[in-house]
Amino acid sequence: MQSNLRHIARRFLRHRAAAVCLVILTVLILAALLAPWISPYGPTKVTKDFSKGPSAEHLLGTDQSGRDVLSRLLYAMRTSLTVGLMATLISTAVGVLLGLLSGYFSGWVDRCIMAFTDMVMSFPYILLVLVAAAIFEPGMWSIILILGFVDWPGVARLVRGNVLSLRETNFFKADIAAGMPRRYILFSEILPNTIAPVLVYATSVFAISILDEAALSFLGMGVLPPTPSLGNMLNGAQSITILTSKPWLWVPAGSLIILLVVCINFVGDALRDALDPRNDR
Amino acid sequence: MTDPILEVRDLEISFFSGKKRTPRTDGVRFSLYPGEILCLVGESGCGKSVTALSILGLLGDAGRITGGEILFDGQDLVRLPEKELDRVRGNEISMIFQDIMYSMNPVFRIGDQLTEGMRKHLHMARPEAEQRAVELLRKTGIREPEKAMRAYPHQLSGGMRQRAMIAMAVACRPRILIADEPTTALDATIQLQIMALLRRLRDEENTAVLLITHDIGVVAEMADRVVVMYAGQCVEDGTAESVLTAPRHPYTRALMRAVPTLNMDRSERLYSIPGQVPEDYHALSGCRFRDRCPNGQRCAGKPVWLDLGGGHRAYCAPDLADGRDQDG
Repeated sequence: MQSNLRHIARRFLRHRAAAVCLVILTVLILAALLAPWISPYGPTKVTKDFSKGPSAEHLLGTDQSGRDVLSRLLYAMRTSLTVGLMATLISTAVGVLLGLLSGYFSGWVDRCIMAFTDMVMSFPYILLVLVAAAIFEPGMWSIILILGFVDWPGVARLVRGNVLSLRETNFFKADIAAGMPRRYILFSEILPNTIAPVLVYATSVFAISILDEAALSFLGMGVLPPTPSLGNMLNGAQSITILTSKPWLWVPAGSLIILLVVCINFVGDALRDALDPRNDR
Repeated sequence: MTDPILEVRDLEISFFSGKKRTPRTDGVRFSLYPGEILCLVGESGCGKSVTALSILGLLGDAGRITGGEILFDGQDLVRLPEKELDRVRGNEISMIFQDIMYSMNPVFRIGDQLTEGMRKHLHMARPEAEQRAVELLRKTGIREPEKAMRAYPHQLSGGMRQRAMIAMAVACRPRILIADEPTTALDATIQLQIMALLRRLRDEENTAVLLITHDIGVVAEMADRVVVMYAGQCVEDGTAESVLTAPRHPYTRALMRAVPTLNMDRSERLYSIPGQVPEDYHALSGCRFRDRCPNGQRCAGKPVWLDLGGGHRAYCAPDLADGRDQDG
């Protein structure tokens, strides 16, 4: 395993851009984790300055309510990363489980699950999210659940395809020939073989979830103020005066979203190459 | 002789696509006795692998046993529920496959894969199972068994992998080992070593081996008894000696003529059986070999099981010309 990890690391580091992105991502995640200690003010602390541009006191200025933008940004990153991570975990767990079952039990179980998957997939994505956001009380956890629910079909199909091809291999037959229980074969033999593609797919779900959270919060249907999120910090940019004359209120949050998403995608790409041993030269 | 440990009786396996049912084998019958090596021989597509897979219920979705029985210790495996079949699989009967590339799970080490069966069937603790695994690997001729235990399948060579597969298959001391063309993907030297290993296993553990092959050379080398299959049916069986020295069925004779030998004249063309296995052979009535049989033109008889003495039988038309076959 040690040597295996070393191989993976070496293949990963062959992607220079991904290596840089991984560093940036690590710094951003650390900053988010350490927000309570490194942010100059609290996320909802109102100071005496309103809508001031960047200064020594407030490195990224203050918003209309007099809150420090840098501090809010750090906390917002926490929210966005949490939403992204939790939504990814939920959708991956659901997708993997349904994919495994669907691929393993062919016949009507497979048909039912796939029909359901197609149904969820064919729903206009953003509309579904908007309707759900309108029905449920907006907030961080409902966003997580909504995103978790709409993102799983891709994972399910990926895993199903993988299981279907693994079923044809001899080690699957060998496992049955060895009298192994089905549950053991499914979870202990087949599942580890699908981990790599699922991991890669999950990184893109992670990035997409962050974008979706931002979009929903921007529309006021996601994380509600005063809790900061990258999306609702952009909310202010809906007004034309802010957009034109107070760039410190939206440029940092917007750039951060781009940075996060780009970095995650690069890391995911490199991970795909790194996890494939055929790329070893 | 003692009772057979495995008895296949009139096994019929069919494949389904949609509503259409195509029988692949019918009338497969043979017995396997403890401690013997039985070779199932025939050309590609004659149904030998399917027969082997069906014994352990590994036919998959498309194929199904539609008739006959497979008696193991008097117990019909065809009608056994999955749960009980699992107790037989790996424990009493185990199997090694032809394809050495994907016969092991690529993401686990050899050691883990070797021990899982022992821990399940023999209820061994991990250290105990590991100890036995190392011993097994050494027995199969792997030089550094401790190192092989920590290796992943792709880090082993083909021969090593097949040895590890055999170690895995015999880990729980099965009474029957089914080997489906275990050396087809290996070169000649390794092939000999693997065959020697299988024979040693039989000698030491008294394991019955059902060896599936298309290679008459392997049969001559290994078999105690031979079953020849053609187009989904058994056509001849008997002791290796009697089948190889006095083949009765024209197909068996043709198979033996098709083996190249070292002292053959190079300019001479190697004999090959004319024609191909008829595609819809299940629909043919009477002899399925007629169109390819050298006596096909002259032969008008219906095939019957001819008893040739000493357990040697052939499914062929009684030879009317010399009339000796039936009255011995």
